[in-house]
Amino acid sequence: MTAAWRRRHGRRLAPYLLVAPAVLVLAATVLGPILFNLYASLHRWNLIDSDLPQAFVGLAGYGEAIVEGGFLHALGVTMIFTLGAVAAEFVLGLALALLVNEDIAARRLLRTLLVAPMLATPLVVALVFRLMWHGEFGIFNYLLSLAGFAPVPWLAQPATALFAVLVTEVWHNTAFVFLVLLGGLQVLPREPFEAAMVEGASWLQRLRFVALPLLRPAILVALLFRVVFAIRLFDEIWVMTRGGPGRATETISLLIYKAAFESFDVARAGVLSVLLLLIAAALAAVLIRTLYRPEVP
Amino acid sequence: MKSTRLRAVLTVIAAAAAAVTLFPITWMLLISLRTQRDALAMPPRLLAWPVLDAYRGIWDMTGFATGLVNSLVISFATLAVCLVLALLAAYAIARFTFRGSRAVLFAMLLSRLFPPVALVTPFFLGAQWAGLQETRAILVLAYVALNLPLAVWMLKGYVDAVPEELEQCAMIDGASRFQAAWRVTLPLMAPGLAATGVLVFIGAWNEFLFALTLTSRAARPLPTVIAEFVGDTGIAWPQVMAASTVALAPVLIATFALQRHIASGMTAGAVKG
Repeated sequence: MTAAWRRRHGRRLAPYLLVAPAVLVLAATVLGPILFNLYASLHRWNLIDSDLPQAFVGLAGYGEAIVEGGFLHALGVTMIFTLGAVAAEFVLGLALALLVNEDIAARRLLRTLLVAPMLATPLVVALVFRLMWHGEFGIFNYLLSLAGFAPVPWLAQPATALFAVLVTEVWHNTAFVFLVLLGGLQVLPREPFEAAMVEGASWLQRLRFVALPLLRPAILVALLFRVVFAIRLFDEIWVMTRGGPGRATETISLLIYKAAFESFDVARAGVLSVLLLLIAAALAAVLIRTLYRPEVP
Repeated sequence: MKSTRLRAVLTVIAAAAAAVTLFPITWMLLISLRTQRDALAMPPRLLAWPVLDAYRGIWDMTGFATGLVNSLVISFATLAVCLVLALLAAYAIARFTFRGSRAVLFAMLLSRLFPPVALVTPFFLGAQWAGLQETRAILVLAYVALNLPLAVWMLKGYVDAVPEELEQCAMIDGASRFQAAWRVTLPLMAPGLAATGVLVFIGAWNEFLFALTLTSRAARPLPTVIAEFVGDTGIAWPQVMAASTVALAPVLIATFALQRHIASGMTAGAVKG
């Protein structure tokens, strides 16, 4: 490697050498596992019986995984959970963003306090809410008793467990939607609002016809990110209910974990992982297409 | 012009929302400062004299001290490795034009959108095969992988924000490309680097699933240790809440310090700037 050679090729090689470590780490830790899941999903493979895959079965595993073992139920729970939580987070986050965007007292302090849950450790959130939802000495049941209601075993009965987990998730992540939308509101131009005021538009009309259309990019970012992160939720549900009672809160994430680490069925875990990756990839495609369409460089 | 009365009403509503938001965190603190009997009393004893018994008690609970040390070691190691790898990649993508740079960025964004739970089984088997189960190193590798895409996207934005002309000036004065990047660009993007570092640290500090599957004894970090405190019977809630407070404290400090950077950082890749 002479100095001349280095000068000639160094500039062209440099960026590849610089990105190589990051790309290699991701190839080994993300691409590798995806390929492994694909491979395992096409075989029969239970770790109890064998360290190696047992028989190639093609796509048969997918058919079985979809009709058996509660996949459709878990898909339904995941969808209800995701849509319910993200919808609530959006409504609350938008309301808070509009509120804090107004000229209220102690604005900065209130904004700071409102974002507190955003990065909170999921395990801690799950434990605190598990205590608060507790049937005997939970604070929520105490508040209900003040209003004259009988205690509800929130996490211990199928009818309320998903709701309790959903409220927990909404508390945890509304702050993200709030911050993204507030950021969007603060960079909106003033002129359209002033024009709407001059024409006598009500507050609701200005929101509906001026603010929301202008906020569209921020709203899309907030919603898509929340959806992508809500479908993968594992920690809170695992700690609060283990997917129960029965299968009331069993999402696809929990199904994958149970297949791999309770049944040791690597093939089934592979199938479910591939299906969840496909759902995530579809959402990612929507995200990237909506966000990058207008201005491809 | 808004009337002062409307302003007052809106302020009260926002303050109420903040109170609801802070309530679970406050409750955690209150319970952590009680004895077991006071903590579970019905109706709740809001005015019980605070005691630090629970904070003394957690050190005797299995794995708490080692879990805390493990969490600190793992999170700082993740932070260091992740920032170095991400900085190299981000600098290359921001400053060089080369084939595949867009592909790399998109691959990064995509891998962030993939659910970790769908990667954990092969990761577990790989760790077993390599004999790395129950080590802090394997968690560091996992957390570097989970946080690298976010770090690359954030840092790319911060490198972009430093004008390349500044580096060129330094190079005209005789600095090498590396010296120019190190002495000119890096100091100017220090706040962004710090914000990225804090988010990566918290990402590692908060992680639960990989810790749950890859470690069960000596290398367990704090979240999985605390989760074990909650068995089926006889949960010592004040201790659980005290341990939770210890786990949450650095996160809350970082959230308040960083709030401006968080949203833009977490959505890096989806919004400009």
